[in-house]
Amino acid sequence: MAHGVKIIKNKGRGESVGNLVDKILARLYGAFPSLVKRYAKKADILTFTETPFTSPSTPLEKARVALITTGGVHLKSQTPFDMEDRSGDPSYREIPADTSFDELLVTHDYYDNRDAKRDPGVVFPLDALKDLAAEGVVGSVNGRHFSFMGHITGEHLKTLMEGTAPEVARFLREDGVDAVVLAPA
Amino acid sequence: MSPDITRKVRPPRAVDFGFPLGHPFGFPGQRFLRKRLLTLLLERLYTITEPGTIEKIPVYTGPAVECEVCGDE
Repeated sequence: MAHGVKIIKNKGRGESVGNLVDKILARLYGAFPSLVKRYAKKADILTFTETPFTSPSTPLEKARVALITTGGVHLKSQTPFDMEDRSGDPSYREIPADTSFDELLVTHDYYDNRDAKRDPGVVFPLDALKDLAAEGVVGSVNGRHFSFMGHITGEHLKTLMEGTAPEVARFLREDGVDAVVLAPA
Repeated sequence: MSPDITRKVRPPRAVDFGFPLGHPFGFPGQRFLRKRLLTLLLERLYTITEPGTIEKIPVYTGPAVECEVCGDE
């Protein structure tokens, strides 16, 4: 089931030159870390002045753990993230813990997603997390996990900060999650 | 993961394994590596006490270097 899914308006443009440029840039950033350094210095990235921090109160072997990825992962049955809107997409997708990787797709043009498409575990290690629970390294795997598409700019940042991100945080609190692993693509 | 971008975003704690963008947990088919990386990451939940720490664990240092913790796949 998908929460907070943005309705995509079909602008009828198909893949634009802009989309192609994004994909090319994504591959360049993946191949040349120095370009990412330069991007990080110049780009208008949401920057914070404070660092939230809580010490865990539950030992790892008893902890309930959830995953959040910004890699644009979603179920085949869910609406893909919006690649038409150049400002991005602040919505999220809920991914049940019993999902197998062959049920997943990746929609995210802003990083080199070729390996993530081949194996979603590269950006969403649900298989490994379940292994750790089975081995007793972690207490349990939360029943649901969440995926965002990490290219979110302009007016969509307000939606993320005031809407979709707090909503996901609330769900995780309701589920009794002790620890969240955030996997940035 | 980009430590430069991460420094701006200021998560509570982070680990930089050295993988290129788009590969926070390694490369396709490396489930054993993913377990090791997740374990290392989750342990840091308890060992990192300074807010905003980005700990560097150089698992991946380049395409031609064998991964030290990959183990048998």
